[in-house]
Amino acid sequence: MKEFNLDKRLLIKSDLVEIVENYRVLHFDDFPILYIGTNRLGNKVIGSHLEEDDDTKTILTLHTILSNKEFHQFMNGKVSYLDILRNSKSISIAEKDYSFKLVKAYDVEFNSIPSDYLPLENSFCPSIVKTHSLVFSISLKGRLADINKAVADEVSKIQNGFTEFLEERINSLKGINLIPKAMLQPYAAGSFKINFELDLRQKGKKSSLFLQQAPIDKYIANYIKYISESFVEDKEIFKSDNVELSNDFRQLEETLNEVYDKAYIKRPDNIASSLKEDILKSTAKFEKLTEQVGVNFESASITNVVENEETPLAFIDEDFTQNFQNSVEEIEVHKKGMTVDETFKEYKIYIYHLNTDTRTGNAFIRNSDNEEEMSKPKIKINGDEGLEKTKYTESLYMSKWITVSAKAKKVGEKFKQLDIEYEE
Amino acid sequence: MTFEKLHSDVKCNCTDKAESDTVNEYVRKLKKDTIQDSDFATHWERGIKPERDECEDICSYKGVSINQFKEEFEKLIVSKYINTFTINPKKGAHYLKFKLKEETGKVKFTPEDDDQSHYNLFKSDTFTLESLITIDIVKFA
Repeated sequence: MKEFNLDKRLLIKSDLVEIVENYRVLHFDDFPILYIGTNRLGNKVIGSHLEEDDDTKTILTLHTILSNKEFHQFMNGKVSYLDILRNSKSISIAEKDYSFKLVKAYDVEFNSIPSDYLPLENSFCPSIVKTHSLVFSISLKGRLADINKAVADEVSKIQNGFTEFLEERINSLKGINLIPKAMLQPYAAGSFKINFELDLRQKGKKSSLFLQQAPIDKYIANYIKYISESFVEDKEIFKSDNVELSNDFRQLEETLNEVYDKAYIKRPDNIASSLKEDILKSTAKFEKLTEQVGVNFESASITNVVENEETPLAFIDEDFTQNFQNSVEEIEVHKKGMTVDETFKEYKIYIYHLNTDTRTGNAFIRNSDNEEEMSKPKIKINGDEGLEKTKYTESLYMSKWITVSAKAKKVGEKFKQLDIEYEE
Repeated sequence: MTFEKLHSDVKCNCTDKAESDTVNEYVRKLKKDTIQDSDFATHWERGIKPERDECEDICSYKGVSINQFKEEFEKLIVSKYINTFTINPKKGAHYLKFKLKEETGKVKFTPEDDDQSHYNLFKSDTFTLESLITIDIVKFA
């Protein structure tokens, strides 16, 4: 233990790195070798076993505070433990007694960890036996969410978007007669958490015993994971039928096959193609979640909850939102083409963001093929007259729908941009 | 074969449903490339005590964790060892493949979700490293 030079290290407040909740062992071999949990502030902490000393009855462990993104990436095998440590500025050596109680914590830099104890390059999260459930949680983090608050309108849009997303996925299972109902559970702190439970009832009086064995929970969880982890990378396969399907897509298809097989229901013909179609359809609902990120909270994590243990499925921040929305648009442009109005036409819009200096912003407008769904095109108001006390700022400040004359750029039936002619 | 040392400081009967097994092969990870006394020291002997005062936990701390070595479990066992090595290489890169003698002790099947060949070895009062029949010391990483 001498190689850790504990006597020369800076002591830190141990409660910052102490795991007090959500403790979960990821790998056990005589000792908890790798584990995660949260500290008293709700930050994710990853810990690993270093050494134990029978003379001093001391166990040394490494504890590192993770960002939500690092946590999601690690749990989903995207970054190794070594990379986490290498890039971290908050690694500490946690000294515990032989009852695993934290005694002291020392600040430590990556470079000063004895190399013999460093994890290897391929130290990815060990595969854990995963069980699934139909209980999901969306945690908002950053800004308002960090003081356990959220804007009601944004929460409502997230709830609606996710509820519709869940229910549509069940309804799209052909031949499986289930009535889905996504139920909201009480909000929870941490930082602002929205909980959902998907309730499934069988249609008709005759209930199928086999249906209960179908891994629908696993399918929905893997589906969300696919949308979050693989969809952007896989965008080419949604543009054309001639692109080879990826391994991640094949795995999701395999889970869907399992749902049909275990329910003893005949698989639909060309299951890959209908799954592709369904994923594209689902992106509109998933987009509703991404649209809320970035103003009053920085990120949203979707987890699957089994007996209080949460398995991360998706991490949505501004970077993800940008990539996701660009990919959806790219696919739409490829499939439906882009159209631009040649002359000015009348449109009804509601401006929700406007920079009166640059005359640019965003507005809501109902899609031309479906009044229920709205686009959020970028807007630019022509001219150089001041915008104060005009119908544009009235729409912005009074939340009012106004009629404008504009040339629209559309992808399919979705509005992407409006060049508005200034009118007094 | 007696277990007085094992039961001297607890009221639990740890050897209940445990059996002698001189037929099957078992494995245990070693800290180095040779077998040392500390490799077969139990948590309890080292002073590491469980959080809960339940016999199940106490007995698990009084046993040595070993795995029954069968072909169908080999991959899983080695992958557990490799996972440990990947996270902390200091935990060793060798395992001992061994058999028990009549007087070595008793084994109890204690499977876990991700460790279906897990057993606890309860050492008899006369246990020494010589009570083990070494088959091989295998370098796995």
